Amino acid sequence: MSGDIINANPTVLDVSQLPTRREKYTKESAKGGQSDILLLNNLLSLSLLTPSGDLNENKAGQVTPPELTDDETEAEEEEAEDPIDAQEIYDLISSISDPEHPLTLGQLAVVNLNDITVTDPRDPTKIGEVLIKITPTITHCSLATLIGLGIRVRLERSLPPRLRIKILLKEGSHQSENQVNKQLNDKERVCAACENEQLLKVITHMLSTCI
Amino acid sequence: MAEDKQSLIRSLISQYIVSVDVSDIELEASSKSLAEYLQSGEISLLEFIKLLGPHLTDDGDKLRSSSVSCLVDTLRLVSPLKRNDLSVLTDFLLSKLTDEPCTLEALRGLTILVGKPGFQFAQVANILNSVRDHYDSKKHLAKVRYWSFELLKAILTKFEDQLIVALNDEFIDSFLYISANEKDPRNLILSFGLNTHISSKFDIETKSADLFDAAFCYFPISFKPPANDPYKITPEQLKEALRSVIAANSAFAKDALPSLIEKLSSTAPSVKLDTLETINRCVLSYDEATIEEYWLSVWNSLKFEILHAEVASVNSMDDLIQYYTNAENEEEKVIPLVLTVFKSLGGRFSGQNEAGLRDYISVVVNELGKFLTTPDHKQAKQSAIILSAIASANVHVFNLVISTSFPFLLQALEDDASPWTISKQRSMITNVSFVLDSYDSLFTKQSNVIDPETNALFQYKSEILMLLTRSLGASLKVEVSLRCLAIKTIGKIVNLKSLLNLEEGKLLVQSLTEVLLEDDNPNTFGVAVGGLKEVARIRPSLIVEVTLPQLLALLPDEETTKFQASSNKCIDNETKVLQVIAEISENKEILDVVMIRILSKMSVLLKSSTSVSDVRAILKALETILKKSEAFPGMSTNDYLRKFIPQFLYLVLDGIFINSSSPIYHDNISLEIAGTVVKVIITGSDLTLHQKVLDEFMDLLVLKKGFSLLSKPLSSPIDVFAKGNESAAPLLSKVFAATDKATTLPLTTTDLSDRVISALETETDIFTRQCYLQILSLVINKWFDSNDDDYLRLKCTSFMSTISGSEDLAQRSKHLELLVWSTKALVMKNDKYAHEILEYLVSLLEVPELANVAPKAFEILVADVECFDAYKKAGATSKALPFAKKAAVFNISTSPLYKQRFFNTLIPKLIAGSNRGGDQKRTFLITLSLIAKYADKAIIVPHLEEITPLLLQSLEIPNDKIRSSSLVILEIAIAEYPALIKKQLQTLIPRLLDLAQPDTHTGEEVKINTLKCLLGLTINEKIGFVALMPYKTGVIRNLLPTLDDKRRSVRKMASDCRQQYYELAQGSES
Amino acid sequence: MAEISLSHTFKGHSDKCWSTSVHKKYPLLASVSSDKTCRLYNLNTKQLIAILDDDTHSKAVRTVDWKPTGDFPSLAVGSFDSTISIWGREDEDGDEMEISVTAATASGSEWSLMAVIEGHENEVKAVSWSCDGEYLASCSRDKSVWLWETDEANEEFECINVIQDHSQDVKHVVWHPFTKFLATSSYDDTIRLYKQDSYDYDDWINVAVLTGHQGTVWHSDFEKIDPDQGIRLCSGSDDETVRIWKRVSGAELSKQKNGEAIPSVVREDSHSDEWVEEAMLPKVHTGPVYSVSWNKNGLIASASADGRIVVYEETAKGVWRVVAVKETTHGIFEVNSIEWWSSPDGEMLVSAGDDGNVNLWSLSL
Repeated sequence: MSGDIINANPTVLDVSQLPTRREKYTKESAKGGQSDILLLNNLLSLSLLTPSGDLNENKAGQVTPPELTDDETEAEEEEAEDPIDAQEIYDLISSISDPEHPLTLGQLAVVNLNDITVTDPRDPTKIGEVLIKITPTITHCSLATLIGLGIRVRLERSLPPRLRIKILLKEGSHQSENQVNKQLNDKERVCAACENEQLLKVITHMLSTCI
Repeated sequence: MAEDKQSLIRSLISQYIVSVDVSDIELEASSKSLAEYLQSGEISLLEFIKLLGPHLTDDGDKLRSSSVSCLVDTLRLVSPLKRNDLSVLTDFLLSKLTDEPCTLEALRGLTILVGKPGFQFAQVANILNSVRDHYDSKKHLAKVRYWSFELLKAILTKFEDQLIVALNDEFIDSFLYISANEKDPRNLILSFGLNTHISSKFDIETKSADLFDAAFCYFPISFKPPANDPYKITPEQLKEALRSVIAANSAFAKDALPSLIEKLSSTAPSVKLDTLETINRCVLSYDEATIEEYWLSVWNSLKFEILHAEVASVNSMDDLIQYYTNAENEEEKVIPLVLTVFKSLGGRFSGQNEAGLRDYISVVVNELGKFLTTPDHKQAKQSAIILSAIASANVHVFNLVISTSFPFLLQALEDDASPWTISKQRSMITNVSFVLDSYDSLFTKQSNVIDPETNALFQYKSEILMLLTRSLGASLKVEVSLRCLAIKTIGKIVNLKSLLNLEEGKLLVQSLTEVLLEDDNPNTFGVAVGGLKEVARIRPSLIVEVTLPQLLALLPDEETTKFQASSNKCIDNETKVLQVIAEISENKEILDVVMIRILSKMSVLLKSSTSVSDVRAILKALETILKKSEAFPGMSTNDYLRKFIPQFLYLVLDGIFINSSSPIYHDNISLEIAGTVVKVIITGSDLTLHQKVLDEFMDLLVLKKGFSLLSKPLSSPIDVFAKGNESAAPLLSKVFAATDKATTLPLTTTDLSDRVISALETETDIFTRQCYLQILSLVINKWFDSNDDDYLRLKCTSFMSTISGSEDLAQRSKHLELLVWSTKALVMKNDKYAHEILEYLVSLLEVPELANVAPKAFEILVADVECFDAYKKAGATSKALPFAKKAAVFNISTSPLYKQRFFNTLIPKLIAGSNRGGDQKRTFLITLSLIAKYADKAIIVPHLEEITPLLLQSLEIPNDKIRSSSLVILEIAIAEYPALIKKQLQTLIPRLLDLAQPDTHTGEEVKINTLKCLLGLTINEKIGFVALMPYKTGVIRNLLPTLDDKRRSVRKMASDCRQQYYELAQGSES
Repeated sequence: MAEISLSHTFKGHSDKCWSTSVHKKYPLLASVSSDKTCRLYNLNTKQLIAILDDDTHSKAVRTVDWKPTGDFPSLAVGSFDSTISIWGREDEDGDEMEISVTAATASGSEWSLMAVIEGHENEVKAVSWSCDGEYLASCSRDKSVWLWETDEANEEFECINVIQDHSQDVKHVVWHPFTKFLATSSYDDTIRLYKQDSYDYDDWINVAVLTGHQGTVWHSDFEKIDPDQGIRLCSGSDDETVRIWKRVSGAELSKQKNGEAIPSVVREDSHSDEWVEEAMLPKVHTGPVYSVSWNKNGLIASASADGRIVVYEETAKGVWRVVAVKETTHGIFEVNSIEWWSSPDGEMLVSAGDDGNVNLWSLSL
């Protein structure tokens, strides 16, 4: 990415303004009831007797500490399912850094939460789709393809293969929208690109901010 | 003079001469004794020189120079010297200047002579002349030249005033002469030093050009210190010394500034930075007339460094400066320097030079004004930054800048011609906000006097407030970035020292509070909370008056026993409201109000038939706020003991025992939290109060001695150990956990222990049992002493006999519990008896019927139980430092290294057991993995080698708890023991990949820990990508299914993990 | 409605399997993959015969085609590394007699690299042998189609023509089963058709450009009938459709009679044919159609990113109906290629997918 910077002065979002899952304000209250239970469990977890343990009847079974039976792993089975949602996709790609600025695609508003659509049948045997519309920083940004490619690679590495990834430029955000779109979604070209050492280096650099 | 003395002197001389370049000690010694003879007058100087004579004129260079050096060294130690001796010696040494082998010693000698009392200024001219005529720097090495500088320095320091009067030009010439084309760094430091001194003190009218060139020819100076530089001269020192010269005299300006400005075009960042530093130095030291002459050219040549820069997106000048000063890229460091120069310029116009200042400011402001009038102009922000920098020079400049620039800054507000876009508002706020920082640095940070009459900012307050409130009020909720910016700026302006009056402060805080209550965009909401926290820290009264009431109003009270749902989904239930209250309770002033108000809310809730979860929420909030207060500087909860506890406790206890209609009737959790609240208050209070506190609680909870502690009496007394009162147990355990161990119990330790134990005999409720057990453990830990040993042994033995003897598994476990909790108390104070019991407990691992209980017992021993959390206070009595001035643990008896001891004795036993095989192997493995997670790295690492293989085995045991604890240790092993892990990769990686599969019946935690291990492998370069490459595709492929795991956290880890493996090679290349 | 059922899965590729080729004469199956290898199987015994991988190709292998002629089986493999490699069974001490099927498919038998053809600037996307094995056609992202003339022994490969009519990547090239007639499909959404010039055999005439697809044309296949009875082509595209194209008029083509070419008696100079889009097959696919195949009984099969395999039959000239649909044929992965195999016990389908597997399907009509 040597040479002149193509967009020297982009508008930048403050990190604190980027959409996040605000566990802090929602989760707590959401599982408010649960957290009390947790508190209780912590207190009881150190007991050598089962909660039900009526000590007057002495059956061996009852003093078996619950932790060591496999009930618990059964319980784990009940654990709630987090759907793969737009926010999750956003979190995966907003942290990608721009090839020419020391900023993330999130900060540059190249990717926006509202431009991500997830169609997930929520069934490992069914095919779903993730649609992402990206907004290049300027309409003639020749890096649009590179950015799109970075996003695709990131997602192909991070999402279950049953989700087809479709990356489009936001309508009217780019002079040669169609060419770019066609390229970004051409299976062969993407695969070939991923075998191109130079390109791969750049992408490695772009993704280095993701973990 | 006696023969023998002569020979003695001779021998000393020759001893000196032979020691030259051989032994400095000898040199010192012989010259010292020679000096003593002279000092004492046993020999005269003349005699001495006579004896030295032959050598002084010897043909051998070495001998000659050595003898001169002998003379010099000796003289160095003799004083005073007779006036004519001095002149004789001076002449002699001057004569030696031309004798090259001796020049060094000659110069050194002269330097010493000049320093001698009684040395005549009359001699100086002579010295200067002969230096100019007979000394030739080109002929000599650096170490010789060094003394030429020292000589001039000596002269200057001694005769400065005479020189200026009589030998002004001669001295300057001599300096110019000796300093010509000097290269040696040490000498340059001296040279620059002299030059600075001369140029600032002497009359240099005729010589200024020469003096300037003598220094400036070195600019920009760069020097790389040699590996073993004896003089430790840094490039910075040189740069600094050179700068001082250049800035030394305004007469240099006509040469200096133009050439410096020219140097700015340099492409080497380091040069640019040096140049700017130098310019700044000049600006600071040249006289006003000069500044007035040159500020324009400086301004014009520097302004674009800022105007054309792509300024980082930061919110304040401080952040900006910080960002650029720490920038890796040298180029960027220019920005703060340029701003400093502009600021310095502003500061250089004193009161009497009003005109000069006005010119400077008006040029700058008019130039930048045109950008500022269109706030989102691409150079507006830069302009604001420049103005802020200049304004922060001093109050006078500030007023001038503000009064001239604000009309431009705010113009867009008035003119309706251009559409009032969001980006305009955003930019305008940014610009204003930057300028406000100058007020902050002058008046808040440097606390200059603030006079509302004269301070220019005051007359623009209303516009600024209007701009901010309007951007917040009028803008749509979707304008997140604008609103967040407005909020941040409001936070900033409210905290500007005495800028806003109370009313204005309230107005702004009100606007933030409205955001809090109405804006349901989580980001805006978050920023608003942040803003209010800021305000709370500095102007708590505003929060107390404006924000708190409105938040509290949402909570139920006498009239409306319901929660007033807010339209904002970020704050639409009690829990969230309370969270916010907790967040903004940033200091005691607010805390006091909150505690009392929440208390009244609580009483309302307890009367009305609200859900238990509401009460819990309130209690939780109290807990969080109090916990937070522990961090407040100088925080003391003393007053809460009286002002809060009595009413609080009454409400809680009445609700829990007496009033069966209360929502928290017999609610363990509520009391648990309430207990924690009490605990925090006690630990936060002075130790001197603890005995009283303890007694009162004992009276209330155990001894049935009335309700002195409560605001009003309960309908019936409480004894936590009596049936029906158990629920109060957590309260007592918290109090025991919190109070000073130096207190004494109002009844004997054994009596109390008996009560607990007997209560435990019959108690069946697990929760209550835990509290009792904790109480027992605490009593043993804190209040048992050697007198109780027999009692303790008696009890423990009886426990053991039941554990080993009884047929009834329930009984056995029950007594095991008693034994373990007692032992825990002992283990913590490293009581030797604990180790006896430990032996016994290990033996239990071999008992098949206890296979499920015994491992847990060990976990209890090491588990970090909340009731044993240690709190420190100054003056706490502790074995280690009896009269501890500095903070020591007061609430429990614990020896710092008890865990380490415990593990070091236990782990080998467990490892041995696990290796022994047989039925109990599993039991040992489980125990190991259960306890290991409680040990810190340091303790585990030494055992890793033996443990790791066992961990791999325990991964096979289909139990999440065991697996995840094994994995935790494994992660440590991966980080700490690469060599070991490297050998295991072949078995380890596939095993981990299995555990990571979604279909396997492993829980979230196990999967996460598994993936952490896989990821850890790639991080430790001691394992290295070469070793991992063979597994790369395997890992990447096999984690594919995990990307579809039910839990988001697992998916995230999996994708991070894969990313790491994808980049394996890549990473290493770079 | 017919039933498509899985009869065998050839596992082994560690990455996307891009395409397959079944030998005209022997029960030989070749598959190529992003894992840079080409695997050979015996379709009867389902045994792995060989893995062609001695680091010949530095990047994904995209395409493979068995040479229809020659005493010993040989094949061409095209890769994203821009080269084409030619492989063959070691010729047992040069005896001329035709080798037995067993010999040809003997597992562990020696397959050796006979030639590496360089010329394309970048990714080779498809290779195809002419019916008489005289020519090898290859196409690439460099927008060109190269025609190579070769000999029995695959020793010489001489480039006789470079066609550069497409404005974008050429995704696929295929020969007519019985005549020197060539179809190329491209990223520029068009298909181009070429015939050998009757006067100058080294010259190839672009006789038609087929436009109509709304996206990249990924793949095409000719109807397996004597060119005299007309020529038809089916094509699959990114626009998720499969279309049938028909040659309605044009010069007579030199056709293949017992292995040697005879110039046509009637001499025409029409350098262009007239083609029409005869039909668009009933739309089933909800993703790009990556591959189509036309079998000798006139059935067409198509495969797509949506994981489906669809079989169509012609009820009346130009009238088609879907006879079978199979969902998630490679799990949730995309299907990259589909091909018919006339097995001893009837027509079967061979599909390749991103899961790296090659599936063999039986079709019960």
